[in-house]
Amino acid sequence: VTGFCRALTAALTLLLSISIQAGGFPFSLAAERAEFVVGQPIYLRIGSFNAPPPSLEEGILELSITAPDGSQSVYRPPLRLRRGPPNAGPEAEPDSTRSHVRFARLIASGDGLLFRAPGRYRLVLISPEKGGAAVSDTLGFRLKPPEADADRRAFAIITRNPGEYAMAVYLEGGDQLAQGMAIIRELAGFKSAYTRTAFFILSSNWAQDFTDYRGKGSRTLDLEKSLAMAQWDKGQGSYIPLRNAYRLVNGVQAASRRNPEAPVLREVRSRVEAFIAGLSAEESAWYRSF
Amino acid sequence: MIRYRALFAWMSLVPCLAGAFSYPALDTTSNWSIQDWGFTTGQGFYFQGTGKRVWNGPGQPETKTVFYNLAVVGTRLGGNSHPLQSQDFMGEMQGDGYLAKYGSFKVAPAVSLVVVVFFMDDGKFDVNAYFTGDGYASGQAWEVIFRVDYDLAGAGNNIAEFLWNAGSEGRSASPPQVPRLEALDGRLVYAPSTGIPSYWAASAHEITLEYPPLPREAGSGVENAGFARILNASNPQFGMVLWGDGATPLDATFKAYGSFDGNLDPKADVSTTLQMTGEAGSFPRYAYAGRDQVMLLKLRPPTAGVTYKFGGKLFQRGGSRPLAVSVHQHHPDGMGGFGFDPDKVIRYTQSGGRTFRNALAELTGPDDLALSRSGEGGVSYLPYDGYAQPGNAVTEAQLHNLMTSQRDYSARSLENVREWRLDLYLVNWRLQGEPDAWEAMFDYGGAGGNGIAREGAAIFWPSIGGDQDARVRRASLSALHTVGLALNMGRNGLGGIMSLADIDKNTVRFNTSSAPGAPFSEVDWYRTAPEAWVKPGRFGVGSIPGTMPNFVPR
Repeated sequence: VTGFCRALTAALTLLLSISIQAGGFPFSLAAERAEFVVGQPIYLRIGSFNAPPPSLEEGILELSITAPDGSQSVYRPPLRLRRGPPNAGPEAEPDSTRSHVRFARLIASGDGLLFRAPGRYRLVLISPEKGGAAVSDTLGFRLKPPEADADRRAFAIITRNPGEYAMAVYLEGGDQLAQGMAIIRELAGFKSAYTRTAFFILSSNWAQDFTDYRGKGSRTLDLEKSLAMAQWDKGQGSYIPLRNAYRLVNGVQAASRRNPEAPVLREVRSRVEAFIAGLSAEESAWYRSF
Repeated sequence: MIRYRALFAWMSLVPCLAGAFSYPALDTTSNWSIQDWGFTTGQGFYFQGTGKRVWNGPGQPETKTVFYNLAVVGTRLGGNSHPLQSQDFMGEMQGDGYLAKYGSFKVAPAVSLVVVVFFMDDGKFDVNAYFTGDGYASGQAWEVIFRVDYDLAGAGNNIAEFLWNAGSEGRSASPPQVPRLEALDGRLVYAPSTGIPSYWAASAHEITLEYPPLPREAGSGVENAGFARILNASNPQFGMVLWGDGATPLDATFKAYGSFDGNLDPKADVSTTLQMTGEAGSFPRYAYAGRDQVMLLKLRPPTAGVTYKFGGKLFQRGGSRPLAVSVHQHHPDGMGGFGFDPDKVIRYTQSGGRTFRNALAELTGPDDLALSRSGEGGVSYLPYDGYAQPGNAVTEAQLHNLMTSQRDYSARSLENVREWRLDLYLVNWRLQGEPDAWEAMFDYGGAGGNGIAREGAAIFWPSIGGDQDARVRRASLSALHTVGLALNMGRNGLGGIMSLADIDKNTVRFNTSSAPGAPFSEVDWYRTAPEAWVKPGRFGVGSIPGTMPNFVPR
């Protein structure tokens, strides 16, 4: 058995090889909070033991969503991918005490926001290979409408083009999403429930090279701008600062190949290293999962 | 020997690149045929028996009717009807690739309506109208009324589908075939929105659709901002897409043929059920109604300029669903000399050498598959600058940027209503954060949000392991798999190419028999499932609540 078959076999046996967690399911779900404002991304933490959970983008696991009106749907991520076989090398010894995590960025679906109606949602992972059987505990959270003046103002901006906004948040940047990124820049201009996300997306965007939409020109990454917009406060949830550090590190690698002596590289490295040094063991594992 | 194989492979690609041998096809070199045209006070400025030539095969031309009668029947201002009273002048002109008829007609004292109708050899038609005369003042809200009596391929038995979305009416997997509460007034207002996918649908009863100006590149409909699509019911491969422009709002009223009484302010009567085509059930679409109906178009004052416009384009598809796949890649110099070859044998099976081309040709038929690749036919190699260097990681955002920037959004591309298009990207990059990913596709969504939904997919060359031969075969199989994903096969558990991943065991065929537990095969899916679910592109598959309804393969 070679190639793809190994990959497929590995993926399908993953469900079997992953140890059962407390509650009797191989996977656990968690979110940073129990309540969100419509239009905020939800960074879903999928936990497992023994082997890393597959990404929702692979379609091996699906996320079943029960909406406030009781209707059920299956999340269809904006990106789908298929993995090759595991890298050759000695296989790790199964270690049922070792936990793994993978994050799902729940914001975009279809041509707009994944979660649109306020109310209580319930999420559960299901396995298509097992006839749609639940393979995780159920996560509940509440989505509330924007109520504060600033939140209502911000949401009105998002509704100008929720599809592009959601896609830009999902992709964590993308100059080609001109309207989506314009919305995000506006959201960064005043304090609301969406400001932190907006700064993170802008920071991530500046940590990447881009060719101007439809190939009219290019711009290189700008680590100074990226660093200026970086979010380090883990008090409001760890995903954004950890992911921000990850984006900066990748930006540093790309920039180093071009100009290894640039002073900003030292500054960014130093800031990221200090941040990473302050992570808990669990957070370090999350960071590595990116 | 190698040289001859390369030459053979190149020669076999050329006809497909040109699409020259794909039949039936519109004759894009001859004029439209018009049996009669002119003006009468009863008919207005009319075109009778308008048609276009189609090649059914080499030396097998056939002229197919498009309009039994297309006419400007009158105008309205301030709630009053003003029929065309008399002609000021009429004339015709002919140029390279078109013929045109024009006329000026009195509609009120010192007010004339000038109409110019272009019929283009490529199948397009373009209707322009404007008001002149001392009695006309800009700012007057004149409306122009057209009667569109279509008769595609002489059938009389047509299917008329129009663009709508959830903003127009309640979202529905299968639009109403009987009057529903939402449509009791017989009028739906199309509400373009980037957050709401659009549908092609037909009504079983008379109905009026009100459309705002729709720029050609806007909208998430199958045919890019066309407001209606009319097909021959018995042979839905022949039909036309109708579109407005970015300045002219219009109302489209679909009425039973016999119930139009010449009123220049036609109203849809939802109690009048349109005739069924009698071809229901197994056809690859939603629509069943429309036989012997006529469309009245009311063009409202343009929001910019003074010219009232609408137009459209004919299509003649093949017996199957023509597919045009472009494979873009980085230059072979950075990829160990690998240049994608659609004729590379991925695996020898009992039925011979299996290739990217012959696998796809079994879906479409050999004459309805067009393949192109970087380095040929104007398809350039992919850039590194502005994204990532060879072998490095590319971010999802950068990949999305590349795909949308490579996509052809030109008018010519938008007006290609014949082929389903798909772009594959064989990139010399890994996916950042997913170094083991071999394939990725941006899925699901409309033009506003995703931009490249199910129209493009990437294969990550550095992530594909093995010696060069195995890598090339795996990349080719990955490319086939991504085509299947783009055709929405992935969610249907059909087996075959989509689920058997071992390159040494895969049949390299889309299956013709249903996989265990699946109600239809991959080939059935491609050929007969509703177009909205299969066609690559910005269409609202996933917005239909729940799982996809079943369908009966033809």
